[in-house]
Amino acid sequence: MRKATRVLACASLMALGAQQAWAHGYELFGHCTLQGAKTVHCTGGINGSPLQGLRIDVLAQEDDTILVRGRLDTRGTFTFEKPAKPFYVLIEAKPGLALEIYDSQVR
Amino acid sequence: MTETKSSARWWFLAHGWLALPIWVFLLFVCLTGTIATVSQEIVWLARPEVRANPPSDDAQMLGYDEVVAVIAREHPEAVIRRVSRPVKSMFAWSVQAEYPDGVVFDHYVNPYTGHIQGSERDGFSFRQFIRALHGWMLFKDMKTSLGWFAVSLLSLPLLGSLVTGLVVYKRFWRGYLRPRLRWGQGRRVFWGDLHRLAGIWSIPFILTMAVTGLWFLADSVLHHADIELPSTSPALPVMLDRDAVPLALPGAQAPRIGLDRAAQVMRETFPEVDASFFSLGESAFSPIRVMGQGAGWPLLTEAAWIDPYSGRVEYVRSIGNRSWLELATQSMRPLHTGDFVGLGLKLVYFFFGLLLTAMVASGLLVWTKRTARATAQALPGLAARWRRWRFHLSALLLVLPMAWLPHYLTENQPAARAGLGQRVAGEWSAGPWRMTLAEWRTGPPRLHDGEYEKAFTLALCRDCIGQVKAAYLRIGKPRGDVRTSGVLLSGSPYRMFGNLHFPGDLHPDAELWLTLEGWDGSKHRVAVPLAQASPATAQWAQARSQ
Repeated sequence: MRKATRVLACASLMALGAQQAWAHGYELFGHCTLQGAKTVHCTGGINGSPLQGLRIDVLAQEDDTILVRGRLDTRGTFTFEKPAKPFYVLIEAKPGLALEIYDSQVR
Repeated sequence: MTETKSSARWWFLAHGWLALPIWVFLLFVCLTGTIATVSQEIVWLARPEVRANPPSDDAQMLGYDEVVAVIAREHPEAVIRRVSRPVKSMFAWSVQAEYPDGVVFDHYVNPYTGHIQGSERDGFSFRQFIRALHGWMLFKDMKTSLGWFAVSLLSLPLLGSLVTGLVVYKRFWRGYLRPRLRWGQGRRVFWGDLHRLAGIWSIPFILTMAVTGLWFLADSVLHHADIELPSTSPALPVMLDRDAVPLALPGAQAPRIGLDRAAQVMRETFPEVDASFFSLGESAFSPIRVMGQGAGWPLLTEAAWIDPYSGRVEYVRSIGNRSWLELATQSMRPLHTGDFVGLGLKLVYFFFGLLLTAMVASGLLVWTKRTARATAQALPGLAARWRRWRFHLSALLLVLPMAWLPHYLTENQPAARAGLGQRVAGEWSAGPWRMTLAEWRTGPPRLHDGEYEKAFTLALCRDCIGQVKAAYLRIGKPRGDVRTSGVLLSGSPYRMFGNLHFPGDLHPDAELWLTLEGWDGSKHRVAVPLAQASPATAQWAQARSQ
């Protein structure tokens, strides 16, 4: 079941590979994997289903500047070239329903 | 004895016994349901302030903005949450507003004069009480409670009584042509005639109550089993995107459209629908939700969510776009209560409700005279046992609402529903803004759907209200981007709610971070040690870490 894989979107759990956030019955999920040496492939969606159009940004950890801007495609995925500096991926479905995926969580 | 006669006897016994072991309970549910049907009208009779009397025959109703202006003028500190114009024009409009101490009031406004005729503090109300008594016997968790099950299970004997009754009552349709109600031939004959006559005229009503009741039972079972029926609900919460809220100059707010404009947008979206309900939203990102009774399907409402800054329609929930399953299941409640046409239908429901109550009573009277004897012949022993135990099961069921009454009254005390919650954690400042954080319920996070959850409340200082656009709460320090601030708190600036999810391995020294975002785009943050925000949660985390 979906519940078994749920973890929390909080900084204390940065070591985990998947992230979730909730709002009124909506559960946002997202995870990223490394494809080859330089490409990061992320998937996200709501309540277990991929969702097109969600805003996904890649930000620098040092100053939170946006390195890459994008939106999830029809399969709920987004691919970008791995930045040279430490980064994190931010998916926001709606205000208050967002999650972060850190580069250390990208496998 | 022939086979037909024997089968008829068993049908008769089945009919007689269906509701009998719990007849007092069934009578109670029928009676309270009948009263609940007209509870709004009872309030209308009892309290002049909820009536909408026009001062003259040619008086015109005010616009929505004018009614809002009345509240703003007479109660400048009130934050309006919703405005509703009852479908029945004999009722005053009701404006729900929240006040600085977290108290919620319903103001009854005369729609012709704009006069605030009366105000009622959120809490115990006769309508809600009678509804809770009838529907779930005052139990705490409503749909998931034993009370809800006990009441909705009655749909089975009700349906069974209807079916067996029609089998037992040979050629019942003759009763329509030659109605028979014999006086002066003894009690049994009179009550028997009444039982049959009321029964055949109540077939559609009993069927409606049984089928809708059966749905309430199924709904609760599905809820317990964690099964969601397929729905056409939106893929995302109906909220504005972050960039849809315009930035304002420091100290100012983004201007909003009025309710008259929202009603106009509703008319443009659904030309045949009159807007009758406005919910003004729970945060700066909430659209205004406008609802109105469906023109083609009055059981349900059409609804539009309107961007309060641009007037654009953000989302539409139309009856036509719902699946057949949704139309059927969502129509069950209005069909059960009869609250979808007007006073006429309410009175029809009331009449048939009384008739059904009378049928339960008359059924018992017939039973004591007849079925008891028939049972004694068919199944000796059972009748004797019944005589001894006839009130026990009903009494047991009726003890339940009595047992829950003190809890219900405590929960619905106005004082219990006001304020920030059970424990104020303290005051903190984030930049120029001061706020009060509180625990809605003291105690550690509770497990809900496999997650540890806990609700916190927040009140902004009076001077900050006009400047703060949004407040957020999260565990652990957010990053620089405002989107990482955590849960969006929702509600009035006097009492915003946020439900936090806690990890099972929460560190006792963790911090909660509050972020306030200004209308001008500025943001200020403050960290609150978990031990101060919620000592019980810190202890819980400590215990778990050991």
